[in-house]
Amino acid sequence: MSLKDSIESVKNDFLTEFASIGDSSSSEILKQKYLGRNGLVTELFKELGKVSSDDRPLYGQLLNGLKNELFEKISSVQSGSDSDDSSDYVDIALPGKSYSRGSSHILEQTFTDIKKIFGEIGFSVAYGPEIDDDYHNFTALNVPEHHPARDMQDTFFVDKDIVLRTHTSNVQIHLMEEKDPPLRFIVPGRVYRNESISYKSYCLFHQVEGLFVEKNVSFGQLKGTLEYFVKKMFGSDRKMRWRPSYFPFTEPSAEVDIWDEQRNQWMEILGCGMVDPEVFKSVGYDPKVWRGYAFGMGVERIAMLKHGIDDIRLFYNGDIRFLRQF
Amino acid sequence: MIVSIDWLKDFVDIDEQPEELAELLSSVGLEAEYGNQFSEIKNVIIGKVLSVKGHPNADRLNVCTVNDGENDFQVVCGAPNVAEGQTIAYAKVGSVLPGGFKLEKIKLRGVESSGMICSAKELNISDEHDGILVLPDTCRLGKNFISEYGNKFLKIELDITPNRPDAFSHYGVARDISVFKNEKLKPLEFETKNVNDNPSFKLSIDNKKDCPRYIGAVVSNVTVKPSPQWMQERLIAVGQRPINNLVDISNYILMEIGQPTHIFDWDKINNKEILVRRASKNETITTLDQNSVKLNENHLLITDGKKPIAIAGVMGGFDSAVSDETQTVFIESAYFDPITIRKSSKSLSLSTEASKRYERGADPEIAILAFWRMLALIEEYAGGSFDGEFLDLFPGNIEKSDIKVRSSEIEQILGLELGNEKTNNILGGLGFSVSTAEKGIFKCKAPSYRPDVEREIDIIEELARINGYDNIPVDNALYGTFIIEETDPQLYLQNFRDKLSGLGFYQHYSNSLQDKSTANLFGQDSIPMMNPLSKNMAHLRTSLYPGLLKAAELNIKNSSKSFKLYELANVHSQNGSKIEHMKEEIRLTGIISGNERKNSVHSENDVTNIFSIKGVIKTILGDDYFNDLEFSQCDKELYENGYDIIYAGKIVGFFGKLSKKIFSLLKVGFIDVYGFDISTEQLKDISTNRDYIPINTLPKISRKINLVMDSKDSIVSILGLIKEKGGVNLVDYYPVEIFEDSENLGVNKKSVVFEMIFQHKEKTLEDKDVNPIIDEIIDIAQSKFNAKLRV
Repeated sequence: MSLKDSIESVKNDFLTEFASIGDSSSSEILKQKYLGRNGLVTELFKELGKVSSDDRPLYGQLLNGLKNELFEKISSVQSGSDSDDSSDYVDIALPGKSYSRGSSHILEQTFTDIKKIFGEIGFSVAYGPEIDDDYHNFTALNVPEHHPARDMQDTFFVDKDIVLRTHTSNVQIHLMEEKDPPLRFIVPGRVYRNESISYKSYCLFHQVEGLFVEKNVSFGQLKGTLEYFVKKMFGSDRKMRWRPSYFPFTEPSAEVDIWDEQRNQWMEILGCGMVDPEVFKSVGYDPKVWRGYAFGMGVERIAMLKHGIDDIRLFYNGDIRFLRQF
Repeated sequence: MIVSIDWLKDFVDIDEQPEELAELLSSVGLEAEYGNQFSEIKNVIIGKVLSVKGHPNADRLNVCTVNDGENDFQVVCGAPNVAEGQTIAYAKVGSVLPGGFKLEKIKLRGVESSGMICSAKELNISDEHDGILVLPDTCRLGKNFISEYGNKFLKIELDITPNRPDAFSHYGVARDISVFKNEKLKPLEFETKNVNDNPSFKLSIDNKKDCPRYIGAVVSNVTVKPSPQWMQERLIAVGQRPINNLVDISNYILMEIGQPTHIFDWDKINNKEILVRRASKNETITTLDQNSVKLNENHLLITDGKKPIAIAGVMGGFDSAVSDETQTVFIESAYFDPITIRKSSKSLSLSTEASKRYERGADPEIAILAFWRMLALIEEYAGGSFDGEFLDLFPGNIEKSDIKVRSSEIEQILGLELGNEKTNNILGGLGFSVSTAEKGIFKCKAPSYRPDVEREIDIIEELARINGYDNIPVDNALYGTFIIEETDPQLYLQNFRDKLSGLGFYQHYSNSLQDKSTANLFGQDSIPMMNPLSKNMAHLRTSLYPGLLKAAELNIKNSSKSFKLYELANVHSQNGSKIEHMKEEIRLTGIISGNERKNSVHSENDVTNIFSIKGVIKTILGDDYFNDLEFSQCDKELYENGYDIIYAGKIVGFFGKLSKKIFSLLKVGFIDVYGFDISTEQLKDISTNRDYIPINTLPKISRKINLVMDSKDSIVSILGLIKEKGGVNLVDYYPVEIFEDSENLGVNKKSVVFEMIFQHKEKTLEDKDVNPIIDEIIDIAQSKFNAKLRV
């Protein structure tokens, strides 16, 4: 029997049965028989694949016509009564289809936030090497070889004069060697410290360095810039304080603390200060003409404070139960 | 450094609460942390031991009667030093000790005991737990232990930055407090004595640069015994252990005014001579801590003219150390060159309280004050007598030069006008001499204890920190020239991160430091550390795979068996030992394992395979602008089945199923993992600089051909053929259906349906445009590629 004949035959059978039904419940049985999942019309649709592609549009049209006609006839009997049509029934309690989720690492997201905040006030982004010579990591930053300030950062040495950078400040020197002032940059990156691993310290972490060089720079501008940053990052009502500190490459130097409600104590998030004239001398900028400020912030520390993370090791072990939270 | 609040009060009035004092110190640049060590202790009171009797059932225990001022209590005590008449800290029944330990009435070996007599450790005063803490009799019975006695142990921990050797003592800290509060600092004044012009001992300095000042003196008839209780208490408060009167006096002066001193047993120094000189090669000394140390030219020594008796500024020698029998002592109070001491201490890996102060820069002037202070204390507490046997060699007098400070520069940097009075008060209080001969210029001279202050900016920092950083006005205007050359050279990487997040990948940040074999696993020469934390973290990674597989192992352990992880980070390698041989490269590496989707009511398990990873690569690298990707088999050991990812004729990365061997080398449990590893730098241009391609709205023509070919033949040849012959109007082509059916197709045959989409840029295509192309493809497929058209 050709498909065309089958269509005719199914249609005639339906009309005969339809004429004899009495109520809506028997119309439901009829609906299942013809239009249900394994109904007669549905079966005919499956035959469609076997006909030649030239004939396929024609038969498709015929079959759709048949389906619509049958559907309308059954609906006309069922309308007015409460339909419990099972083919329309949706149990929305079933779960949605599962799609896999992913995300950028929380440190990456924090980097992105920091870049955006400083980008809005005209800072460009620069990068620099994780392996550097002693000169760029220390000496040019006014940390001479036998200075006790070298003890402030436990250093990994690759060779006598080659280190894993202990801060992103090495890029200050690279930038100033490559470019003439004025400058306005932030430098994100990974830094290393020879410290044993615990919940609060790791052998590496991430920093964002900032460097601003212009003619008339004041400490007040540094305060303005970093208070803007803290408000953007932590909200405008977050308690912060400025504390005098010491870094060989800035003077005056300061540290900024944020109040940590969870631990009920101040937490240091960044160090900063006015660029020390010695640093300008080592890159050939005239310290009588140029002034600047610089800062370096800990990305882990900021993320920990912002999200209440209490163990730094969580950032580096790749536990999906942690990663999926951000 | 730990400072005792009680001790600071010797020099400056302090009415602040400890928390306020810590805040004050932090605000002037001495980062302070205060934690009340007594916060957990409740209801411990002063008691008196009325009687001590042996315990009937235990040799080591005593049964004591303790009076609290009103009543007597029976207390069992195990301390060997408990004795009748002692004033002690009594933790009654109901009191609480650190750790939340609440005292109850108990029976010890059958004898009832009401409470406890406390040791210093139990009260968080020191680590001493060999016996009970015996209090001075001045403590009043029944009073609260903390307010009556404990408070004098309250302390603040300071993190002294390397530029502030002056703050490395109670006196120095008190100075900052006094200047901040604009209050008086008690001057250091100690009684001086007459000295002989020709003492009986010889003192000489080889090189005045190493040792600009050396003060020495002989004191005889000393009696070595415990130091007075008040001195012991103060040393304990700052975390030091009392030894004997001589050692304690030296330590006390160190903590009080910051000057390191040393006391030698003069009877053990045969030559009655002191010579300060560098060590010669292979010389040795046994230090106080009884280590035999091999010396070299880096070490400055105190010698008896021949052999070393101390490593100058670092540690004394064992042979000349004071002991209980010491009767005559030689006192040293010197100033050594900071760099000399630092080199010496560094090369010995020996950092002491003395070396820390010398290498930051001690005070050549205070050396003499410290000497007189010491002499007075020895006379008083060790009964020594001084006959004027004294020498003060000061060959390297350090002259400080004037520093000019412009008030205009103060205003420029700090944004405020301090005024003459305030400037003078601050600098004067800190010990600077200030004159204002010229208008608008302060001529300053730094005191001898401030070696860090040499320049105008150094003085401005002093003014800023005492005046308060909070008082520097915030400037909210944004100044400066905007020069935007390139906003962010790594912005293109965001594209990869976004796509991978969308595909369900979590980003990983792993440790860059690995063990040697892991770091060298991928055939590259990894970079080792000279001073690694451990063998496991001695080399920089050359690949991101190990970190990802370690994370995979952790997640499987935590029953997350299906995962997609990636890392986008630097890897390092070297082809030589100079800095220019060190290579740093950003790689994008990812792994997938387990099921693509969870088994659910909607779908069956969808297990990842090689095509999952190929699809990922297509998605992150290929789009309208970048579809020129090719893959070809590679024989990298890392992959069981690996492919090069080729873009524009260049290999930009690899993907495949990771080989079993890698897992065993990494000691990670084997799982089916598919990975990709891409060098991002070559892809930079692709991700940026996009031009709009006009959308073609003309109709497309689709054609399918069904070819039967050998099951083992790759479809790559047919795809190549279609691409080659398809012409400019072929916009897409791909296999849509593959099936094997031995009944209808024959054994080892497969049927593949290829679909081709044609679209012209300017006109509507007709059959006649496409038919000849299809015919040609079919012809060549049949004649050259062992395929047959299925009709």
